[in-house]
Amino acid sequence: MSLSRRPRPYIIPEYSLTGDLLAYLTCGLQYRYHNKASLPPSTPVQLWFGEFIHGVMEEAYRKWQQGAQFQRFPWNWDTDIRDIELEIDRRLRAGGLYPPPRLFCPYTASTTTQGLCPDTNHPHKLIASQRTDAAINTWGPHLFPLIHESEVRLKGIRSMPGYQPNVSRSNYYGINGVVDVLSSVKLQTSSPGNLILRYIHQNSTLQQMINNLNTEEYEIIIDYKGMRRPSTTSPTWKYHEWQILTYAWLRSMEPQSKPVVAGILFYLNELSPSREDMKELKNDVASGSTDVMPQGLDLRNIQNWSQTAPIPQLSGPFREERSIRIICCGPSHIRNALQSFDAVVNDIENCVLSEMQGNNITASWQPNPDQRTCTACDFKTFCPNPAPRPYRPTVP
Amino acid sequence: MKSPPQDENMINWNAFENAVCNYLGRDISISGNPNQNSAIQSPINQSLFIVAGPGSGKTTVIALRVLKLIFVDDVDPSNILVTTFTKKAASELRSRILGWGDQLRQVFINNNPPTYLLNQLQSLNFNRIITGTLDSISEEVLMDYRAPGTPPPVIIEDFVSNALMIRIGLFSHGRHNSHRLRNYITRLRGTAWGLNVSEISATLLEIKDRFFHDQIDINQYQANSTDPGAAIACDAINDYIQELNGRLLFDFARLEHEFLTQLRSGALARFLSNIKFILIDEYQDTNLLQEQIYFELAKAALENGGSISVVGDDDQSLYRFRGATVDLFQSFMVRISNQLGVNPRVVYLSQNYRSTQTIVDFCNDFITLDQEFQNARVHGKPPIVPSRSQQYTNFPVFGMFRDDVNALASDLAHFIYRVVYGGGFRVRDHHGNEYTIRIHPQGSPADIALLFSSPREFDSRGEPRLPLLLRQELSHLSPQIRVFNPRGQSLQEIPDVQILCGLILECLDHGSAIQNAIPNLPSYARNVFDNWRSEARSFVNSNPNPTRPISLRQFVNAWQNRTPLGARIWEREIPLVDLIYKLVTWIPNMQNDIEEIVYLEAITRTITQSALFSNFRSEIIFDPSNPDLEDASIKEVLWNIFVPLATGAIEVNEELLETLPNDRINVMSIHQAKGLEFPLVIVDVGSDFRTDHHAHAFKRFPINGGQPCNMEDEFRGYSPMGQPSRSAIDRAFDDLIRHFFVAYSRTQDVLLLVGLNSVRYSIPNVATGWDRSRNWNWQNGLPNLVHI
Repeated sequence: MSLSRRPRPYIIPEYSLTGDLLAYLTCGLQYRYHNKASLPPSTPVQLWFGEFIHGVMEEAYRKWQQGAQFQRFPWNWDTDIRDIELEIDRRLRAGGLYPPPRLFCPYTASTTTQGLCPDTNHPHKLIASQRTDAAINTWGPHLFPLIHESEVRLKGIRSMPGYQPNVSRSNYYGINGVVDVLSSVKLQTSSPGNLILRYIHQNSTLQQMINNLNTEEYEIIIDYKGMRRPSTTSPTWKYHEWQILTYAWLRSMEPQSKPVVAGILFYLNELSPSREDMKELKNDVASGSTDVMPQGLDLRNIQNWSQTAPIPQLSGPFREERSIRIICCGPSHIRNALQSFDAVVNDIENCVLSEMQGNNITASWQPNPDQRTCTACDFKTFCPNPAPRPYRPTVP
Repeated sequence: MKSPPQDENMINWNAFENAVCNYLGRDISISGNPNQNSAIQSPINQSLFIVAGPGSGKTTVIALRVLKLIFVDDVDPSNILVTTFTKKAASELRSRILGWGDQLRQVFINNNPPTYLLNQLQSLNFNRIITGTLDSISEEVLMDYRAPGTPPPVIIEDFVSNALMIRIGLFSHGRHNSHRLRNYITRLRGTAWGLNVSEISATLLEIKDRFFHDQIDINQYQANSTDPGAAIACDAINDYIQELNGRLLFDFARLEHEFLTQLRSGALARFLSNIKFILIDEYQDTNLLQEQIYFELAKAALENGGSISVVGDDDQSLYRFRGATVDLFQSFMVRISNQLGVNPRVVYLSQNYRSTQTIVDFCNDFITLDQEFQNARVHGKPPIVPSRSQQYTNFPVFGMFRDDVNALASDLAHFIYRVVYGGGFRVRDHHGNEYTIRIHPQGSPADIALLFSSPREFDSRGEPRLPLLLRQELSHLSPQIRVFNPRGQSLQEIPDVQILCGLILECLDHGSAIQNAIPNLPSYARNVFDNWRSEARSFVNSNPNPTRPISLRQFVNAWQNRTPLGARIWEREIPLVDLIYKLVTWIPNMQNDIEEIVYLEAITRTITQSALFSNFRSEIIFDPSNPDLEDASIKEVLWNIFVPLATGAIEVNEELLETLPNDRINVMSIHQAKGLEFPLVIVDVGSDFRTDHHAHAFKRFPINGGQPCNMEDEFRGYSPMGQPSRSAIDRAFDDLIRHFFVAYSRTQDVLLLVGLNSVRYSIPNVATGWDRSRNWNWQNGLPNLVHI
């Protein structure tokens, strides 16, 4: 005379490529705290700038669409770009995301208080604004005319890896992301001086893929990264490739989509690097762990730069080349990327199931001790395995 | 390649029905379930009014109707819009559609279809179906289809609304001191009890929501109202709305209003041109504003050759207090016919697949006890019919009533223990039949739900209630049984929250100097702050781990003395969140425990959201050239963050508790239980009612309409709906009957009613079979229950 069992709710867990999978790969425990528990970062430099630059580029494109008067470049930061920045800042604030100090000036000329700025001469063109200016004026004239669809929300489902009935949460998982899409039609009609077209033509693998297509039409997907170009030896370099390949697969699931031959990532910090970015660039150059090496004066400027010196002015072509990365989307690459992300989902699901079986958070989620991640981590003072050694709480 | 035949469906109905029956295990055949069959099979241009009783497989019908439109009628998934009431329900429905959609597609692909059909099947993307709550869909559509150069809507949380109303609507004009306003609010609330500024603000926000939801002509109301407080309330609400407008912010009511405005203006024509089918779930809890949105969507769907389907059950309408108007469901057929000229077909889903015969009979009996209530129900509605297919034990309905709440908690805990761990609870019915109640061998304590009108652990006087006493009793058992009751305690009552908040206060404002310098800090908040500080000091004195490399005392002292410790300098701006994460170093449960981390999230969420209306963005400023900034930034933190935390304005986000193990029983409000089902349901019908006291009459045998009905009567005359047709007292009784109907119908196998003996033997109570004419249909002593 036992009771029946309560039916389990059927919910397909959703994963975002950047918000979940890349975050988990950085550190499982940090992912649990920031992403699954929604604990905000105390100084969300990366998060804020990533969201900010996406928002600015999207709005800039919408403005560009409004007519010829907005299709003349360069745009003036004060008159053409600043309003977009303030609008995006307001939007992010409403979601609880505030610009960290010294990154962005949120004030107007009429503001009399200093706030978190160096003085009261608002608005200041701090580093976030230097980058938006550079991003719009470097890539806007070439990129915006090629965009076929902007802010396309891609969604798909995949079989749950390692699915076990009555144990796994669901037999599927959902995966999503947002991209801009370029079309071959727009590429073919673009002006010969288009920089993006030039980079595409220079990429022989991509050219071969395009030539081998049995259709004239194809697509290229675009994503922006509010960060420097990662070292080719770093896991991030590989993760970004997986991300683009997975986007390509998601896009191919859409009705009326054309074959996705490549993805382009824009690493927008490269256009206006910070001191930290320069430090890492210098390391990459010294160790040969970057695919875009400086030449001539740029090389000397980087090699001779010391951390106490002002950031050297690198040449425009060099910064531009470092800020664009083309990833070819062949079927086998896509398959490998999907398998890799399936494995990540499997790991995350196992952590979730561990919690559901009664284990506590630190027993269920593993940290990924990496000095660079740990130094900036909010939870380093109580992490069970921080790198390189335990951190003590400081005051303040 | 074979080309698609003309005038032929992608998949024919028979193939679809067979696949559903054989591969999904759902019998939707005309012989198996004629009503489900009828609802699912209806053509795309057939609008439906689906009245779905509890446990009638509503989600199945909705999901399969959508999939039938895609597979059989060739409707593109992006042409379909489905809304439901909660995010969780929307997520479940979406998952169902995606999961079944893919399974069915595989079945059809495995049948070796011709190439054109294979291509069609492979290109189907069920993710393009628009699903969500009305709010989430409104937000998404307004964002995606906004005009160039216009910003997307930015939505604020309830506590931010409350803070803005207090600051802009009340404080900035001194309206919080207005006796006229207080009298007006008191009249609408029905009581002056507990009327503080926060409560006035909450009531004003409810009125504001009603203005939007019922589409009130505010000017006419203000002009005609004889209450001098009405004009002040309207001014406060107008100021609040202006503030939202100025900041380009939206609360949910304004968001829906904006959505309707843009639907009507033609600004969303591109979106509407793509809509062919809309389905609205939980329609019984719709308000006028939402109805008008649905009708705009329906108009587009009809013009595009499609239809509208609404699903709901008036007997399960629970949200009058949030502005829902059940009349819109009951009069749906007339209203849509008058406004859109369409005549939907009525489908009754009355087969109940959830409950035993006894439970179904009990629910049918309960819902028909009160004769007057029958006038408030959908006309011609059939009773629910027991249709559970698998074998089950037909347990009787049980009762447990004791003289006092402590005895009740103790006996109930032992009953639960026996059911979960003790080999089962044995009981005989009136006919001598013996039953043993025990959980399924693969079951868990989560199969048990205790439903309360309110799951709070303390009453308004601070006395412990059954949820607390039961939790304590269960924790003393071996093995102990844990309880999941996220709404049992206010955030400010959680011990670790008290310690953390106290530590922050002690670090920022040692000796309470800044706190004491705030003249109009609410006394309640001040008392809570002092209590938190005291808890924090005790905690520091306990010298918690880790004590190395620095102890908590050293950390707090360094903050209090503003002396850097382990850092070279004292920085100018310090994010409050940074201090919090460092303090968590000494609070291990907030690092490790699934529930406690949700409390931590609520605190940090308050910080990030409050930055919306603060000058210092929840940072503490230490500027040697302007030392006043320190005090000012700390004052702002006290006002914007700690006052809402102290006054219970912040709620935990229950969605973050998805990984909680199923080793605990569920304690929840009847509202929380809506849409859920449990093998064993225990309903509290009167553990609070020692006497027939008027203060709790609204929970069991109303003597007036109460706040929701007062509001309706005050404003509905200025709404296109006009005054409600039923009296306030009748509506209060109707709602109470629905409330307990929902509670009882959650049961799969065993229903146990619990309360005090005063309820069993004397006190009038709708939940125990009284009707509004004071007839006790179940009779004194409740002999219809098997008492344990």
